[in-house]
Amino acid sequence: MADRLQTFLVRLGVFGELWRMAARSKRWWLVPMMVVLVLLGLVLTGLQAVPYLSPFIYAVL
Amino acid sequence: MTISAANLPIWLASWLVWKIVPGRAAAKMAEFSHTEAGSGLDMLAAVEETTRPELRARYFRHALDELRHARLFRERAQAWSGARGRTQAVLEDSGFIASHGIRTTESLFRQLGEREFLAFVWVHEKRGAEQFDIYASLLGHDAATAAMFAEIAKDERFHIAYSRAELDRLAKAGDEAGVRGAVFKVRARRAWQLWVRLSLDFGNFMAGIWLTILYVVLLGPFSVVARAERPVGGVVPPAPRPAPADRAREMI
Amino acid sequence: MSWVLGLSGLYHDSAAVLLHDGRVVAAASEERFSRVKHDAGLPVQATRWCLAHAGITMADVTHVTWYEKPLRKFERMLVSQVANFPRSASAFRRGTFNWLTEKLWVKAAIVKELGVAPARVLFSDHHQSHAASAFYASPYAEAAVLTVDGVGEWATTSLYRGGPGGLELLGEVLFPDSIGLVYSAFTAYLGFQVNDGEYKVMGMAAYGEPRFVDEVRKVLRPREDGAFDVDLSYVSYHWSADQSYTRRLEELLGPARFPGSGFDPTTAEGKRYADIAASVQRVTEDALVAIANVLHARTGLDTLCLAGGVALNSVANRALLTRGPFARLFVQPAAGDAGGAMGAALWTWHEVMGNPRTLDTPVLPGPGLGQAWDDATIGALLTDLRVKHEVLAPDTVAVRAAADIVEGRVLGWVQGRFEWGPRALGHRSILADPRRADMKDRINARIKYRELFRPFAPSVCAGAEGRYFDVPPGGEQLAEWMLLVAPVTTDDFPATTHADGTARLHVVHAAANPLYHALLTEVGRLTGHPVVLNTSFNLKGEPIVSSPVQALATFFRSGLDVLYLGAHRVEQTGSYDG
Repeated sequence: MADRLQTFLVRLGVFGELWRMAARSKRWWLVPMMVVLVLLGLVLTGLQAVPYLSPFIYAVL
Repeated sequence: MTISAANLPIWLASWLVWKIVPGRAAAKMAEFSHTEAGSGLDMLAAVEETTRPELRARYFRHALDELRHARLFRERAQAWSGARGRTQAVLEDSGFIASHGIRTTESLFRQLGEREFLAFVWVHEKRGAEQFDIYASLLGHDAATAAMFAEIAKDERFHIAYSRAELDRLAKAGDEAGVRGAVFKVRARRAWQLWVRLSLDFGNFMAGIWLTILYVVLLGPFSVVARAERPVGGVVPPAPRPAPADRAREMI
Repeated sequence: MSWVLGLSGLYHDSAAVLLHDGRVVAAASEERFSRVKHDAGLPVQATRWCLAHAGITMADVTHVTWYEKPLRKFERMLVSQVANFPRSASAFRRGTFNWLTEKLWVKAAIVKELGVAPARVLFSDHHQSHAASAFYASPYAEAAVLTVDGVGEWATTSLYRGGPGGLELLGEVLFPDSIGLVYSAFTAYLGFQVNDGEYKVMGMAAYGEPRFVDEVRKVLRPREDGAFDVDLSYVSYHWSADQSYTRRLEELLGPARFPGSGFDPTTAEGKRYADIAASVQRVTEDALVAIANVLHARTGLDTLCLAGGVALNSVANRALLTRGPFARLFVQPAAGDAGGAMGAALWTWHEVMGNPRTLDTPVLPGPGLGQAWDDATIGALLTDLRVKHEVLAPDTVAVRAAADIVEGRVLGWVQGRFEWGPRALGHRSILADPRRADMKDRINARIKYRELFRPFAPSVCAGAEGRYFDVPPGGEQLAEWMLLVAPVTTDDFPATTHADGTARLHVVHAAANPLYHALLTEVGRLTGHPVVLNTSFNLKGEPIVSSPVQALATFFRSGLDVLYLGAHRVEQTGSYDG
């Protein structure tokens, strides 16, 4: 359980780094799409952990 | 070969594949080539990992058979398709085995252990033999193909025989319940994996739709901004960056 | 006592490299374990083996360094696709899915699947990893360093000065201007697979003349300042996932070659392809020499360390030596992305952890850095599999093998630890007599089933190479790793001399590979020439064999005559009947 939490927190770290990257390269217009894509990525990765549930989850989405 | 209730669905599906959709047959041969190759690699891993010396020879022979089948299917695929298009792409796809879950980073033998591995071999070889029987009957008109399926069938009989013999040996040595349990687990896992496979494919399909929507909605509006970025040609001086020890932790 | 692990993967050629106090103790490509050619998955099995080989666990490793910055790569990919809206649609749909489910989460994957504490995970920079793999593995305290590949995060070509203070980045050429990607586009145009067929373009070039240099220069354009840029109307690698060149390229040079169709340089079409290949090779060399001149002017140093996929172009390496401004060249054997794992580890050791270099002992003792199997294990295997074999006294192996070669047999040779890098260098090789003219076709047709125009390479004893090959000064180290092409000055070796009279040379030192050196010496004693034909031990489409089991499975599926597994000799006929 602690491992799952640690992995999840590591994944969340990506958001902070994306923000800093946009700041450094001054490409602020990338932020909206990166945030949405990374969020989608989190969802997809979560689904891959329980692939048998994806038809039900996608029905909701 | 008789069509029974058990193999009717496969027969129908195969009939559709071979007869109705032309180029599909060659691509299917290419897929079989990969599946057989994956099997062969699993058997080679079993040779290295088993603790039973007497089984190493069987697994090795089985591995060589599977690898030979892979080559035979590859040759059929190329003969039917003339090495073009979709079939060639499948044949050349070295990531096919991994992306289709045929093999993972841990060998099948290590995942299952000897007893369940033997059960796996027995169940899958039997299933494979039935499946190939059907394909052979549908494609019997082609002499080379018929010969190929005949050779494969002969090898499969050996695979079925030795794995069953080993399982029987284990059962007789007192582990009958364990053997039955292993066979049950293998069969159950097949059904489960089919569901997982379908779910994953469905998930990928839906994700594709979402990504297309996002592409138009999220990326499209900024294309003007992106195009306005002046590409700097030639050797560009590097932007200032922190010292190695400070920037090493970043992913940016 | 410090351990550092470097990793590469998720694009091409995953690998794991383990350093102990700055020395490479284990290095392996994942494909040798997974048996998937150019395996690009996370190098789980290679990592497991490296740790097992060293007898340590992940807890003992101070840092685990990934070879590139994934988010910067993500940025470049997005910017490029947005700028090419809407034709980048299918590339976006396909590529992004993989990003969202795998590439973005590489840190979490390292933590979870390899069991590394998050605080210990570091990230190098793609070209920096290449540069470090060349510079820190070299014996030079100071050198100019050039990295050239398809693309890293943003850079496609990077210029460094390497010295006691570390690697100083002097400048970079950015995507989409890329020598590597243009070469790959031409690889696809000539009907080969990208990231796999570039060697074949090199081989094809020898059959042609550079008649199309002006046309190719319209694509990869030289600049006044010595750099280069790309006319993007001829290529589509910056927006398409499956096509790397456009119809405009076909209008410029004629129809592309259909993949899988034969190649016959005596036909008009075949000659055209060969001439285009030769032109691409020439323009690539010119671009490399020009950028080397820029680097030389900036650093004033006379040693060049080279890395990145383009450094595997051994014909271009010769051009750099003979036409370029540097007196000597150093390239490490895994110059492609797999080498990035080694560079990431070395960069961490020297620049993040601040350790000084020790130049008295080599960082890379030889090419054999992978897994080995002892004779007892091999013997037990052969007995269990009921394979008839002969057990040799270890000091007679070289003599017997030499005799087999001289008698015209083709050998599988599995000795010691398998090689680091894509070339077989006498640990997992197929060996034969280079003096026999039919040997090349025999091996191509019956064993490796390769395209018939591809040449084989010779191995020669160190010290004897001057008798047969014209090795330019400063190229000795390249020849050790088979990264240099040299003109052949004798007619004795038809099987390893290419159509244009050159060979991709492998010079063997006794210290780097004693047994192989002994075999070559014995061949020299029998024939007067210590040279053998050496090609990698694998069938077409498969990675080089690593374990004895794989070697046996490959052996029995091929037309090889004899197999040497350690001190065991197996004949093809009569030794195994299933």
